[in-house]
Amino acid sequence: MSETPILWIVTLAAVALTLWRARRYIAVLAQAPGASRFDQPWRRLEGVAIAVGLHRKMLRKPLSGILHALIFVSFFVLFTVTIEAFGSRLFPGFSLAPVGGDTWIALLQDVFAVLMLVGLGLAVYQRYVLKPARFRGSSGSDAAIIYVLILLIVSSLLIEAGARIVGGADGSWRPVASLVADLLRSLNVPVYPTEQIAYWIHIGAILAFLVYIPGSKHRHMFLAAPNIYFRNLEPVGTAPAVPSERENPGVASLAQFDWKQQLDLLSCTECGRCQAVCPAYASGLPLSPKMLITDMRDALANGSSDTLVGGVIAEETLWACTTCRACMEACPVEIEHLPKIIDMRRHLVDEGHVSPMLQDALTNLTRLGNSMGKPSKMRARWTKDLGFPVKDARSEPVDVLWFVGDYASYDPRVQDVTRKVAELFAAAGVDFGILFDAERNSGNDVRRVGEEGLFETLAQSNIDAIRACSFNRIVTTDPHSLNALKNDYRHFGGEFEVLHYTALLAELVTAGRLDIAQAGGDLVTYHDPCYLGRYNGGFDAPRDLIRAAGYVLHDMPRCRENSFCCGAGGGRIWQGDDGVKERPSENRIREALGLDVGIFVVACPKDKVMYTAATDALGVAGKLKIVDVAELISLREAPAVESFDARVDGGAAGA
Amino acid sequence: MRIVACTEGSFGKLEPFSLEMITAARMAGAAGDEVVAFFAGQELEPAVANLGAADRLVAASAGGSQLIAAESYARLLADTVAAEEPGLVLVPYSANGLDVAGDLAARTGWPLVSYVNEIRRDGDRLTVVAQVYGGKILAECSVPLPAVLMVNPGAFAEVERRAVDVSKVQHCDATAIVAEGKVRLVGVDVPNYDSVDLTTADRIVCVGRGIGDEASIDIARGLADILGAEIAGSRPVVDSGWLPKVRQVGKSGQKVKPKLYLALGVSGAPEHLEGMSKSDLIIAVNTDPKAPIFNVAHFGATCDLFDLVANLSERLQAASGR
Amino acid sequence: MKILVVLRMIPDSAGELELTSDGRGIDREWLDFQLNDFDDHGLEEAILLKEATGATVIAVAIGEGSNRVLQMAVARGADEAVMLEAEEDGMIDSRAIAGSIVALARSKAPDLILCGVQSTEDLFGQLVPYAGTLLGWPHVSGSSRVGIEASALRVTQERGGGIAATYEIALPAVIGVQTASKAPRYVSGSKLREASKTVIGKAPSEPAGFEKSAEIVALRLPGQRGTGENLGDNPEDVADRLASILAAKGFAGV
Repeated sequence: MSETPILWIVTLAAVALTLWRARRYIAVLAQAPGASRFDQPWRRLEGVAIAVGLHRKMLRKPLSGILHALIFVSFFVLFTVTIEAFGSRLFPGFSLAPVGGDTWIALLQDVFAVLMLVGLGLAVYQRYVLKPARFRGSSGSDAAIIYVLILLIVSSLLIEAGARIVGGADGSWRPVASLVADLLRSLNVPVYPTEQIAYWIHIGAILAFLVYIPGSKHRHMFLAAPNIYFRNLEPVGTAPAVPSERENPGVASLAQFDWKQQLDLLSCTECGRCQAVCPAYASGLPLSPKMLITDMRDALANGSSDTLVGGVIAEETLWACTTCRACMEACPVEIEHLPKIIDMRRHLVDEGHVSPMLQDALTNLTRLGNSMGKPSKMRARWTKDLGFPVKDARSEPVDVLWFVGDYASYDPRVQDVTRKVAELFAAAGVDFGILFDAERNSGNDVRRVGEEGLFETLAQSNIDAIRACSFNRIVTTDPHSLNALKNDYRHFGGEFEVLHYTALLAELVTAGRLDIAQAGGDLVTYHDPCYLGRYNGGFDAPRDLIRAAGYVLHDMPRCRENSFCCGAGGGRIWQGDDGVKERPSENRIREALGLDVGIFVVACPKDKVMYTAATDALGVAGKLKIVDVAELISLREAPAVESFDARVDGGAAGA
Repeated sequence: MRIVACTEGSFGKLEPFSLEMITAARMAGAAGDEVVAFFAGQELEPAVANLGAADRLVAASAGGSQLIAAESYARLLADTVAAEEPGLVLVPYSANGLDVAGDLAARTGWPLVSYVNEIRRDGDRLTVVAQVYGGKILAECSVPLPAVLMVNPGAFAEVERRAVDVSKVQHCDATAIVAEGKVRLVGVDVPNYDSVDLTTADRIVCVGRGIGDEASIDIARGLADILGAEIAGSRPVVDSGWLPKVRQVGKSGQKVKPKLYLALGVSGAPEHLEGMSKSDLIIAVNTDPKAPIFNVAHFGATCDLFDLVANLSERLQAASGR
Repeated sequence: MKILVVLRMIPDSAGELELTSDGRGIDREWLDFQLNDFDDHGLEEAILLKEATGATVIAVAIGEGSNRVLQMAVARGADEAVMLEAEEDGMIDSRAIAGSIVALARSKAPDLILCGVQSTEDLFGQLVPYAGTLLGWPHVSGSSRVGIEASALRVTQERGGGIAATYEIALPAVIGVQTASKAPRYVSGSKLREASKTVIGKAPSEPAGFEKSAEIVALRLPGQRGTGENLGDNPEDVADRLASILAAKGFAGV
């Protein structure tokens, strides 16, 4: 009975120490700028339930997901042991027996103690035998300490239970503890001391664990659910708006990030799934989304006064990002890597720290509304080689306003595809028009490069031009433009219904307005563009079109939400290849070459450009053709063709 | 009418365009017009030894200084013009000329046309053809006399070199004028030709803006190695710090005459052409079919330069069995 | 120290130039205009000097788009912005505007005038020697470095052939910048938007007092002087041809 005061003292001391260790984080979060993440509580809770309860993202890596689920559930069940252990000696007379503590709860405790050890064993196997690459850069000691502590906790609870059984307690509901009891008997250990020692080791290990948590990635035990709860419910395609209280558009220090962005840093489990899918990391550039978060977290923990941008986080790290969002898609605790990168880029841009190539692109965009430096009046020159005139949406009402996009308009490698799309629209009788030289770059990548001021200018100009037109829907051939028009422009009062052209074509095919010639079942693969797929959920329309055209689709292993970025986004196409060991586009082509297909289908102008260059660089241009979805489609009115580069003849067009 | 043709030289050498100025002066003059060569520099020797094709030589030397600042040159020229009362003064388009031509025109109030390629006498006026907009447009101008013209190097042929007759040399000592000047020479940097001298290279691979970035120059270097060529760059490439100044080709860089000149991603601004247009075999690659480099290239291609370098390197290596 | 920077708007170098029907000018209606690249370097050099010495910078701009360029100059650090009236729809002729620049210099009394060494419209002469000579100030064209050392102006001039000469120049002076000591810095869109509220002064156009000038009789596009062979745009074909051309002329096989 004299144990009670000791236990009280020890427990309270441990709790105090824990809070004291956590004080820095609590203060930081309390002082951080606000974030409005308190809306739609039911939807938020649902997300937590799916993430935590169903382990949805965790199970994408099956071994990892299962072992984590085992450990996770065991933690909850074994928490009853903790309740009993502490409760019985803090409040003498407390026991779980009335609710089944000696019966079904006891059984569960036994079973889950074993399952916990199984999970632990699998974790050790994964970490030390399989050694997944995604753990590179994660803290090894943190993991090791946790393994040791869990082992201590579980073994001490089993030994204590076993010792009690030796001492005469009822072991009928504790099969595993009974086995331990047998073992103890055979070793002839003194019962009472064993039980006491095991008990205090159990208590000690639990309290040590508690005290350890604030400084370890195991904070996630407490922070994962809240972090998921407070996740961003805005459409994923929207870049973070600049809060009006901020003087400069960017973030220069940790303290300027709002409390959710900082909570992210504390919630990171160092699992490395983000690192594993990052195209910049894969190409050899100095960006690991995981290290980005942990470096910022360490700076937060140390209260470091080092500069954040250019100090804690190197400039090259920030510029390496393609903004593909694979990291956020992979993160099981909903950490937001991308808004942090964009906010820090905004700071760099404001200070003028941009590379010469990027500076050229931004200057061209400011002056001419396109990144290539071509005259704005040449934007619609591609229409000259069509067999028919294109309506000017600025002066005539149209059903569909076609926002063409920079690369689709200006780049000679893509103009053929743009013309093909026009011919398909015409053949299907779509009433469409374009903005001619009133169209400017949508600003999607300008915003993501951190040039918020220029983005506002471009957005406002486009919104004004679009509003002056009379139309029902907007269609675009460029997924980046799609994203900006549909999502980012909402921050500036532009609410438009925007479709990718594959969605429109799919509609037309379903409505029977496009009679497509059937190819002979050639094997193709399809690359999901980041901004169409992962960002805006457009996975199916292109696939439907490919099948409707009579091709057989073999998806690459990394497809749909897990598609691997071509490396051009986030302004990377405006930067040099310095430091790149393997271009992401070449990495992707190699993946496709493993599939025995002859055609690599794309649905984005930048993909067309990047992958054509990649097949040239790899010397496989003869083996794998890079073809846009539109180029696959031939209409039946044309003479029977099997090749994807047949064109619709003038008679069918202009309808 | 008398015509003054300005000539330049430093470090013991006469600038070749000086000989072109005399040719231009003859073209602008009618038969019987006197062509006076004007020279201001460190030593007289280069001028005296070469400018014999002119009728007379007015030469000012300042002895000690390594080269003469434009301020002094302009002052000496102005004095000469006041004394000689010519109807036309020809100034070469050079670093020095950029200061001198406008200075003389402002002092005298005479008309000035720059970047002149052709000169024709039309009675008491001249008709000249000059480049504007970086050579994209040619302007035919009518010029009342007296006037100043700033002439493009390479537009006229060099007159033959011979020594000036001693009786035709008028020498003045520029030392005092240089000393009074508000522009005082404090240092001269001559590039270190030990590492590389493009002017003696037989083969040159030159990269322009189209190379994109510093790291990509390595790709061109690979081809240069295969060809046994020196790597060079146009002004934007050197200004960006991607290649050292000794490897710059052009007006403010080196003037080269190699047997093989391969221009990758070079647009061919007049100042660049000035530095290499006399090369024996010029091959140019530029995705812009209107790039002025194609006006001097013997062979031109509009494909992507990286694709070409990759393909060409492959073929050359295969051919040489490497 | 006070620095006056001249910014000239010239036709976009990337665009195609077309002639007017009378053949004496270029059709400016559909052209985009941009800041003369050398003038941009002049501005950068001025701002660098301001950062090093605390000088004040006055930016004066001429031509279409001057407002925007003056805002950019202020966003970059210029202290005052002035727009110079220009003849509508005409070449920014340095000989013609020299008088206005000189008048502005007399009224603002700068110690240093910086502008680009030349402009693509300098058919009738360059601004630097005109302004310098009319003001009676020393002038140097083609600088790659301008700095103040021990309260004296030091300028490095690119002389050609890779030779660079450094001078000490008595102020006031006019310098024609070829390249600034550092590449012109980037100004973010947000800084530009802040600068859009800048008040821009106006300076009247003043004649330079030249009595006689040359005149344009006709403009024309240069004929294709090139007699070279076009090998096309397919890299493999071109490489094939070049390999055989080089071999035939004895260049392959080093």
